[in-house]
Amino acid sequence: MGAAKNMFRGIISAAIAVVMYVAIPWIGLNVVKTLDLGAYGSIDYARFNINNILFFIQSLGIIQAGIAFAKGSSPKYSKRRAVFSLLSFGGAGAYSYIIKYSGLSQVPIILTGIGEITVTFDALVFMVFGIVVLNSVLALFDLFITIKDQKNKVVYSLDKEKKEREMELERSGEISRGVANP
Amino acid sequence: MKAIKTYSLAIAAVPAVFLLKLSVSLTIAQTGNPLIDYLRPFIPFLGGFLGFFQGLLSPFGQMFGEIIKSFIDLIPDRGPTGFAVYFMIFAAIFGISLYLNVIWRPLGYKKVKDKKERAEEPKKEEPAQEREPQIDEKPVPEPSAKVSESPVKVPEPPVKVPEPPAKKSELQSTEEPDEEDLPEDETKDEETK
Repeated sequence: MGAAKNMFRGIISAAIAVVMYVAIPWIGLNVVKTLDLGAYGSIDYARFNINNILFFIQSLGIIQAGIAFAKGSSPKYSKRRAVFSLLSFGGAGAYSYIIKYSGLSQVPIILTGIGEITVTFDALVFMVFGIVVLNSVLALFDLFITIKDQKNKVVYSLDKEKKEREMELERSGEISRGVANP
Repeated sequence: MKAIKTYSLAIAAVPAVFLLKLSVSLTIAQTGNPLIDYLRPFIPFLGGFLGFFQGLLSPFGQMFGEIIKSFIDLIPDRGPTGFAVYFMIFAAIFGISLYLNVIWRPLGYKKVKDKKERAEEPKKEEPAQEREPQIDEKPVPEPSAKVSESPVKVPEPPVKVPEPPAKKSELQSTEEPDEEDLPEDETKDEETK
């Protein structure tokens, strides 16, 4: 029962990650790629390096989906959940960083008859990094709290309890057999 | 008292806000777009709000950018392998998580506090069951006993014997004698007269 539930939660988390990290950026960038500014200007796609960005969106998005599955399928109060949560924030940081340095942070737009303007998203990207850092700190605290709770026995393992129960049942079975057949 | 306070506050605040909004909207040139024209007075506030967060988070972001730079260099570029490396990493993470959460320890953890509460619940129920006879110390007399003690004799209600489902015509026939009694009563009255 627990395993099936974990699988289900993991699949849902992975699906959400695929939508967030792959589908939405992919659709957005494809819209930008096919954007027609008409006679007023054009986007310099060669410098923008849009194909490279699309590649990294897919590749790092896949890894993010894997980490999201691992995080979603991990049970509550477990160390591995906190570890995968920390990893997912690290992955999110790498994702945003690599997209920034692939060229998305600076979009060159050529305006006909006027010149060239570059739209920079550096401030926005640094803000995203800041959010990632704060979330990573929270995930780190979560990991410490989980370790502490397990050490102080604030939480108990259901798997261990199940094993102990099974052992007890086995022992009692042996005793009853011993009584029946001395 | 509270109502008066909120009322006076409303008198003071609402016109002030309205006038401020009006003055701001009048000072800014209209663009023609109704949405932008409506949002324009609030844009400086929104900008300030976002700017505060940007100022707060950007230093963290710059610090993080420098830390992660060396790690980013390890990520392979689009080479002859294409997505293969990434799919391998995905498969590894997926496999590890499957092993950990499905095979190794799938049930997870629960708080000891919840376990204690669950253990205490049956204990609470037991004393409640013991008290029940104490509450019923005064025996409630049966309604039949009350009837016997009372000076006025009340005719006992007729005991309804469950009858088998009878036809409507039969039922009507049972009711008929009551109606036939009426003439007998009338004759009795005549005799008395």
